Amino acid sequence: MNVRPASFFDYKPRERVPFKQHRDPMAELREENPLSSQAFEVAHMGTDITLDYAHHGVAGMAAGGAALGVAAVSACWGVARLRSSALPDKIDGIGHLALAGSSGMHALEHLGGVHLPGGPALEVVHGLATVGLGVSELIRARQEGPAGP
Amino acid sequence: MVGASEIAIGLAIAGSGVFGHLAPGLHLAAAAALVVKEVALNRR
Repeated sequence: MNVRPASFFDYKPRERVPFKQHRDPMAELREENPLSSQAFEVAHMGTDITLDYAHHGVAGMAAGGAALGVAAVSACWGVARLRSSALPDKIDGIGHLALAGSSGMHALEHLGGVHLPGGPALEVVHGLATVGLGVSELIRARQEGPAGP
Repeated sequence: MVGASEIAIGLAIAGSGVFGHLAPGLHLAAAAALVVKEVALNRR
């Protein structure tokens, strides 16, 4: 069997299927690794907190660079999510694109001293998209009953 | 638990956009909710 590593855009968007449902092993190979999304969320949160406290000097530049990395990954992720037909994935894609915009603005501010308007609005969009995902997760868990995840 | 913590993360992030002066505390709250979410995900 010839299994080649997939590129970022080859990844199948996350499916919201019942936990105990039998799944095709090859489909699992094509899906994204859950560790990648967890690592990204931790990196995003760490960057946000660092940006709050590091404004000048080397720490500020490092935080700006990290924000630039978060923005780039988030933009790619958002575009990939928007290609899915599932509504939760589209909401996730919009949230990731908003995060890419706000992180890019933070990076510009810390690396180049450029202040652009609209950053707080993008943070609100990202937050509301995350709330939407949480609501859809709650609805899914309720539909699956106490045996579900 | 995963959905509830995701809602908490979203509210904290949206709140940091609306109330900029509270952003450091709200980001810490979002990080705490993220820890809860990851623990709940790994216990599935």
